[in-house]
Formats: sequence, C-alpha cells, structure tokens
Amino acid sequence: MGPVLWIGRAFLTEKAPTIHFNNQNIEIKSLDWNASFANAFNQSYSLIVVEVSERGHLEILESLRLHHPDTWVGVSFNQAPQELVHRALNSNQIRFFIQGPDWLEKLKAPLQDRHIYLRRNWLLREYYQRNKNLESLTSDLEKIVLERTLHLEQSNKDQTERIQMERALIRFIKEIASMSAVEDILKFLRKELRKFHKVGELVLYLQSGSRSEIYNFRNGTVQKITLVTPFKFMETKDISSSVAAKELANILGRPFAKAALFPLALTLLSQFHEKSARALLCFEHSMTMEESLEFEEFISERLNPVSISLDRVQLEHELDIFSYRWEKTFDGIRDPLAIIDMKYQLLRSNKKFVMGAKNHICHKAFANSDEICTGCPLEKAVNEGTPQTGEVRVGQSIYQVWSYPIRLYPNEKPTSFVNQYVDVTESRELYARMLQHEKMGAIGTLAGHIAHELNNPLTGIRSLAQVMMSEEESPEVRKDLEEIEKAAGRCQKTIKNLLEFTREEEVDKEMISLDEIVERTLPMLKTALRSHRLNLHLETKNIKVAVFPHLLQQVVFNLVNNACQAMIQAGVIKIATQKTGDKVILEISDTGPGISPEIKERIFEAFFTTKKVGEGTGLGLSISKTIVEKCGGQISFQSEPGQGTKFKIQFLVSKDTP
Amino acid sequence: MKVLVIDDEPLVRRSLSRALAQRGHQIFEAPDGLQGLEMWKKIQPDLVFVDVLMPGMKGPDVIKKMIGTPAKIILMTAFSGEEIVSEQDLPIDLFFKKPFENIFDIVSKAEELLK
Repeated sequence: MGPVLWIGRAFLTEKAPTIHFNNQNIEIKSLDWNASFANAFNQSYSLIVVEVSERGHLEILESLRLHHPDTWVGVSFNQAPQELVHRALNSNQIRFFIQGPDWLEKLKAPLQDRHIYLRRNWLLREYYQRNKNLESLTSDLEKIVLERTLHLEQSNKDQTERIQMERALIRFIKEIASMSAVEDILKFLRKELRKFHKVGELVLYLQSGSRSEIYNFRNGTVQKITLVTPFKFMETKDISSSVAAKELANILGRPFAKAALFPLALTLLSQFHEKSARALLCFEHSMTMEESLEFEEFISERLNPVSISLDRVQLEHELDIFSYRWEKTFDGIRDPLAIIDMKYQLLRSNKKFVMGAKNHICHKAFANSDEICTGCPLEKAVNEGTPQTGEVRVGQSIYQVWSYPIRLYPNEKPTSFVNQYVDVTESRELYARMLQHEKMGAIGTLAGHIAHELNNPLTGIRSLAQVMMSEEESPEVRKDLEEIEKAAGRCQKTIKNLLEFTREEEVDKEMISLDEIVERTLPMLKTALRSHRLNLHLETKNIKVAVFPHLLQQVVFNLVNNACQAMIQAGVIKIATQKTGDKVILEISDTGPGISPEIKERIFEAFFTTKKVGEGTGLGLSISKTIVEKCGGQISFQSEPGQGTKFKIQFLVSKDTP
Repeated sequence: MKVLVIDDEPLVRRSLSRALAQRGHQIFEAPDGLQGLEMWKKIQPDLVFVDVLMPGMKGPDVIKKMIGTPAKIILMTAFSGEEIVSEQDLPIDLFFKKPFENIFDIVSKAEELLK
C-alpha cells in the first residue's frame, strides 16, 4: 500500500509519522493547506485525508475530486462549524471521515477498507486478465482444431477420391481382362471416356503381321476396315497428331478434328509376328492443352491394361485363326497323317488317317490291328533320329510311310513323329503295267525280228515243198513233202499269231468269237499243255463279242498257263465257251490244288504271287483283270482246296451278232 | 524269158527258180543286191524278183539302180512292205508279202506281168 497524504495540520509537528498496518509501516505525508500540491502527486497514495476547518478547505476537496478521481479521499474534522461538516459529508466523493483525536488509530479502518478494495480490484483485474488469456487460448485452440479438422477432412476427401479412382481403375482392369474381343474392349473404353465431353470417337489402328486394320465407331457400333497398305505414318517413331488426323480423315472418309495419339505396346503379338505388330489409339477431341492434361492422366493409367488386353485378345484371335487354318490344312491333306510318340500313341491325326476304330494307338486306328504295322519305319526313325521310310500294307492298299522326327527344340531328342502315309497302290499298279508294257514291247520287237528270220526260210521250205510236190511222182515222197509243207504252214501261222499277240499299237475292238480267240492262243500253249490233258468245249463259234483280240488272247494264255503251272501232277485243263441269255461265258478250269482261302482276296493284286522270286511277276492275273474290264467283261473265279480252280470270264453278246 | 531272183534265202531262191523253170523260163539267181545288179547288167532279164531285207545292199536300193530298165520288177518282203514302196516311190510292178501261201500263185501272177 502507498503512503497516506494528510492535508492539514494534525501531523505537521510530528516528524514522519507512520501507521503500523497489516505488518507494514505506512508513511503519512503531511501537507499544509496552503502548501503547493505540485510535487505531491508524483506518486500514488492509498488514502488522501483533508482536514476541514473552514469553507476554503472544501475547494481542495473539489480539486482532488476533479484531478484524482481514482484516489480515495476522506475528511477529518476538528472544531469545524456544523454546516461545513454537513457540506463536506454530502459531497459524494468522500469515502470516509475521521474525528480526532487519535487520528492514527482511526485511519486504520479506512486503510483496511482501501486494502480490501484494492485487493478485490486486483483480484477482479487478475481474474479478468486470466479469463481473457484463457479465452484467447481457447480461441487459438479452436482455431488449431478447426484447421486440423479442415485439413483432416481435406485429406480424407483426397484419400477417398484416390481410393475411388483406384477402385475404378481396378474395376476397369478386371473388366477389360475378361474381354475376348477387340470390339468389346473398344466399346468399354469408349464408355469409360464418356465423362470427357470434348473427347469424340476413338479409332484403333492395329497392324499385326501383314494385316492392317482400323477399328472405327459408326453409329455406336464398331466397324472394322482392313487396309490394303499399312498406315504410312506408322513407319516413323514420332507420329504427329496432325498427320494422323489427316490420314485418318482419308481412311474414314470424314473430317477428323484434333487427334490424341497413344501407341500401345503389343509384346506378345510382336513376338508372334517377329516384331511386326503395333497398335495406335487415336482419340478425336477438341480439348485445350489444360483440359487434355486430365484426360491424358486418365488414359495413361489405362493404357497399359488396354495394351495387355488387346495384345492378348488379338493374339488369341490370331492363334485361333492360325490353329483353325492349320487344322483345316492338316485335315485337308489327302494322305493319312498322324502325329505319334515313340510308343505308337496317337497324339493327333487327320481325318484321312482314322480308317480303323477311333483309338489312341496308331496301328489300331489306322489298320484296326493290335500289332504294329509290318514295315512301319517309326522304330528306325526313333533310333536314328532322322526321317525314315517303309512300306505298309493295309487291306488292298499299299502305303509308302514316312516317319519324320519332330524336335521342339534344336539339339534335343525328338519328342514326337509325323507319320505320312502315301497311298502307292495305284502308282504301283501303273508301274507294273508300264513294266509289262515295256516287257511286251521288248518281246514284240524281238518276236518281230525272230518272225522275219523264220519267215524267210519257212517261206522257202514251204514253197520248195510245193514245187517238189508238183514234180514228184512217187506217192510216198509226195505225202512226206505234203507233211513238210503243212508243218511249215503251221509254223507260219504260229508266227503270225505271235506277231499279233505282241503287237504294241492300240487297236480298235474287233467283233470276234471267244472260240476264235481260244483257237488262236492254243498253239502258243503247246509247251505248257504238254504234260496235261486239254478238254475243249467250244460252243460259241458264231457268237461275236466286241473285244481287243490280241489282249484277250493274252488273258487266255495267262489263265491256261497259270492252270498248267498250278497242277504239279498231270491233270485236266478244261476250256469251255457257252452262251447263257445275253452273255457269252468262257470258263477255264483245272484239277489243281485250288486257291487257299487266305490268298483268295489278293490274287488279283498287282505283284501278288505265290511263285518263287524270278519265276513270276505277280502281274498275270492283275493284268488279265484289267484287260477283261477294258473289254467290258467281268472275271471271277471259284476255288476250293483240293477241288481245282475255275476262272469265269463273261461278256455281253454283241448286238451285231446275227 | 530271162528271170533274175535276188534273195539272200537260198530256199526261196531255189523254190522260185524251180517253179519258174517248170514254166520254161531261164533263171538266174543272186544272193545279195550287188551280185544281183551285176547279173542284171550282164543278162538284161525280162523279170526281176527282189527281196527287201538282205545283207549289204537292200532291195529298194537295188530297184533304184534299175530305174529305166524294160524289165518288170517284183518286190518281196517278210515285213509289211506297202510303206516301203509308197515312201520311196519305187517303180515296181508287183509286190508280194512273205510268207507265200502257194508258190504257184506267185508264179502265175508274175507270168501275167510278162504277157
């Protein structure tokens, strides 16, 4: 507490009076009424007391009230008129009054009041201050909290947006990954891009191998254009959008605004086509640079999945085509083909291959046999590792079989084999016929020479015999000469027949009876028939058929010759001709051992023979059958073991026969 | 009449000679073309029989040398002879194919030529 200022005379005599209050000595400053107050208010006072004894002192009170309104001012009275006391006390600025004597003691009460007041005031101020601080602190905190909250909210929003975008991307990838057509992918991408209003249609340029295609939207559906020549600008690395727009406008036949271009990497297709696969997505748009940024961000996130899907879909598509084409080719090949492993398990085969039962074992499927085909070159191909060939017979057919080893990787053992079966039955027959023709040609030429060589002396013999006969008188010699002449004549006839028999040139069919054919052939069979008996029953002398006489002679020769050879012991050959209805039948039968049932099916096959190597060509019956059929007839046979064999040839009677 | 027979086959020559001799002709024989030509120059025959295929000079060549001769020429062959005659445009009067059925037919046809 500050000192007390006492204006009056009560303490003037005392030197520095103090009041002991609240464990403190409070100084009392004393000033006479008339003293100057100029320096008295350099400090603040806890209390100011004015002694009022005359009217003039009230002015001091008034002045203090004006100049120091905050200071507590009190009055003390000492023998003052009543009226003055009232006036002083009525002034509202008076906080207390003291009536002497005993001033000091009586000052303690107002000091106490002042002390309480000041303390309360301080407390109030302090409280207020504190409150204010708290308020500001709260406000600061609130601000921070608000800021934080805003920040949090913002970041939360970003996060959600991010997550949503990522979700959208994942959905996009999932959807696109399950697609199986380029068209679907493009439709889907187009749908995704709908939110970019300034992006128009999209065009996909796809070059895969030698094919160049443009996928373009027309009335909401995808249209595919196959280009004859690839995009020129694709050849360069940097594709300018204006060039592309111009090119696209050319191809699509409509104006094309700005083009945003995104090359797509087609890794798999590139490998498949050995680097010649590329794709380019072109978006028609009217965006500004800033607008296109968002679009580019959006699309660049999706380019990779789009590329991968396109790559996959296109590759699948091309592999499908490839595989379809391969299978069609494989199935379309005329020769039976099979892919087999080294244990004769069928991996794949073409349609022509499966002739037996559908089976996973190759010989079962091909030949319907439980055993490996005789002559199959597979085993050799497995052992040698190189292509091998062999000959396989299935039923009536002969196959030249090739086994080609397949190596999936170079320098490795072959994993599988391609067996190709070339049907050589026909070419074998042709070859056989050619051989026969050549042989017959050679024989013909030879026979021609021999015939000429024989004809000359025979002519001489016969003519001389005729001359001698005309001159001879002895009947016995004449008879002998006659015999010579006749024999020479027969020789001449045989030679003539031989010449005709071996004649090479194609001749027209002739009208002739089967009897005549048989008779012409018999002289040549004399050797063969030497050890057998011939039984002739020719009854169709006047019935003619249209045939190639010398070819049919060959048939008769073959059949009779065969029959003679078949009979190990002496037997009977019967040659009979007869007419039945509109047919003439020639039968040649023997009393030989017959044909065993196992080979019955094969006797007309070319090269099939039961004779030893070098003794027969296996062509006789095959050629005979061909000749009979060429002449328009039929050949068949009956044979039982031990009962002999009967060949039957029949022709329709010619209408020209009377 | 003088008849020349050129043939490498002795039996043919012989039989022709004998058959012709029976009819009173004078017969000359030659076993090949060259000898035949010499004989032809020497005797100037009225009729010549020539075989086509002979060792050395062949029948058609012999006949070509005789172009302009007043003699009648008969060609004989064991091959089909029509082509030889037409191809080479030979001036022959008759053509016989061997073998002969009857030697006397040949002789009578040849005699008809001489009439």
